[in-house]
Amino acid sequence: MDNENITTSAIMSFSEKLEEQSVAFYEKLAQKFDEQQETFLRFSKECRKNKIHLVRTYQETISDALEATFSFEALVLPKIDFESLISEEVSFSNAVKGAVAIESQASEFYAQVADQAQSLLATIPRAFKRVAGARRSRSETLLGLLG
Amino acid sequence: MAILSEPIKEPIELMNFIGGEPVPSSGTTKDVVNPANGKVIAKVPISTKEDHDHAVEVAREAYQDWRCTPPMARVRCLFRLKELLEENFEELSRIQTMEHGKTIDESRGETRRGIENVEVATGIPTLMMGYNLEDIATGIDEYLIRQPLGVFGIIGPFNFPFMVPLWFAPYAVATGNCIILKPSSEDPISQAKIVELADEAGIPPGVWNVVHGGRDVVSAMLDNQHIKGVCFVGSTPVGRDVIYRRCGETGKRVISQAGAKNFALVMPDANLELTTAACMTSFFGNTGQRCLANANLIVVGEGLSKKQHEAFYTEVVDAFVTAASKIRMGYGLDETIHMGPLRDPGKKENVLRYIEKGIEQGATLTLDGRNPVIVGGYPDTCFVGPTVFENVTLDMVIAQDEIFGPVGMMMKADTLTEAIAMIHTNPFGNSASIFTGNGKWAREFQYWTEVGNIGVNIGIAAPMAFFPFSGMKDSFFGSLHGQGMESIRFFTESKVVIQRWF
Repeated sequence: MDNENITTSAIMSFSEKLEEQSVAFYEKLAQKFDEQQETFLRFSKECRKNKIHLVRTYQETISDALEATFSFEALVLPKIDFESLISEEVSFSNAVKGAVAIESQASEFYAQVADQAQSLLATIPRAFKRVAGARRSRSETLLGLLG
Repeated sequence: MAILSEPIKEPIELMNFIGGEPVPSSGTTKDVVNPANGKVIAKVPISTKEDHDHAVEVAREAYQDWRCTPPMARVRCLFRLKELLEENFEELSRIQTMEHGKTIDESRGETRRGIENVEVATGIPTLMMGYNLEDIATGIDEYLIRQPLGVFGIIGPFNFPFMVPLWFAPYAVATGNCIILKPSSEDPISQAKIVELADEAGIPPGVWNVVHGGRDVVSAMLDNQHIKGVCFVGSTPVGRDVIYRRCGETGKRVISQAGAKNFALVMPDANLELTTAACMTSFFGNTGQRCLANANLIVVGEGLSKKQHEAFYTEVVDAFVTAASKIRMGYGLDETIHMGPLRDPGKKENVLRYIEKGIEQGATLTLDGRNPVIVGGYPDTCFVGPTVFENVTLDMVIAQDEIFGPVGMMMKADTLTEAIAMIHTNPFGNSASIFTGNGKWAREFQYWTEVGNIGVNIGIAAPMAFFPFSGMKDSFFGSLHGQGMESIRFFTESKVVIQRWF
């Protein structure tokens, strides 16, 4: 889709997909790298909760009065490559570096959405800000795994 | 970007829902058409007087038990209904887009607003309480109890096929009444779905009935002596001259919410960016088919010189037109679009007639929506793009009539007082908005403007479910409004008991 004037619905669909892919990604990493299984499974669980939180906030906040015709201007939907990071040959170090890059892209995206959603009911930007923050802090944990 | 999947794959054969089961009508049928792509998605029965009257008999019988069912037991059904509506949230929303044409974001908003009424109605054990006073005379107590009345009729409009019937139905049922609900025959599918969910939620057979159809069902409802009251949302001619009048003649209670021509005032200190965003939703949301849509925008020059006022007007209108020009039109299930089609070709013709009339009467067509770009290449049968007129005067038809389409009229007033006076020239009194950072101006506006719903920096002043949906002048006929506490009073009789024990 062109990235101009993106509707709230499109943002939600993208966010849902991003969190679903992240769930699968971290589950794969947990399977592959036993020693960090706990951390990766925790991230996977968080992504599942993120999705529920965002969808619930959107569905409970959206109203016919406030969101119709609203759009996010000049927002770029990041293209995130999960596939190459879960291939058999990828090393632990490369997988974690890739995960850091994903978290960075995701948190930036969510932060932009939160910023542009300021004119909507406050719960919407707040929800995106919370997920952006959670994603950002995850990068630090991931970098810590590299020693 | 893919189109979201359609929940209706093949045309559905709708039936009336009476006494807890689908019942065929003895009347004819009518096609329900998706206005975006022209496909038939359902066939709806056009029921007869006999179909309606049969439903009333079934409802009267069900009422005998339902009114004796404890309020807590009644609301447990509503709690279950709320859960089922949440579970089916997405499907119900997509159905609305298919049957009406609105965007998926708008449909989801409508679903949410409908569910909120079910949520509020679950408070009936408290909301329905009466009151009492001991010793009104020595040894004598007096108390008031609220009792249900029987069977109510609900007539839904086409513009909010899911939400509007829920302004009334949950309260009617929660207070112990039974209902006959007639959805708009243009987009009846979501109501057909809701009644199935109400049945699944355990609302007993005969309490929540749906009879599809048109004028014959409305006439039967108005004439039936066992219908205690009618709730209607639609046009002023029908709401005033048919519904309100006939309910008066037959002694029925009535909530008749009718047409509108709403004004938005932009004051010199308004936050222009947020005001413009709010105006886009207000003027063009639901493709302008909304009784709370603003249609006339007045740029007010309070405290400004003539030259400053002119510059401010240009700034406001430029921002408005620029934003309106960016609105993408197409099928509401396409997540890239911001505005869907009008409900049917007749409505498009009507809007086009008004645009022609505006030009004929001398207004300037600044943004012409008559040949819009339609994303996805859908037929233009029902599409009209955002349209903006300038140099509009109050005597023009486009400034007076409810166009019910995406058409905005730009005007000027030197002062707030003049702007309010302009609003009062219009016979409607549904809603009005002011955009300002000045509390005094906002208060003056709220205090003096004769409309039922006021928005301060809000483009669509839609009351939440726990407040009444108000309206004045030619926009409302009746005494009590729908939603909230007024709704509880509408659906119950106040019985007063004075008691002394010897």
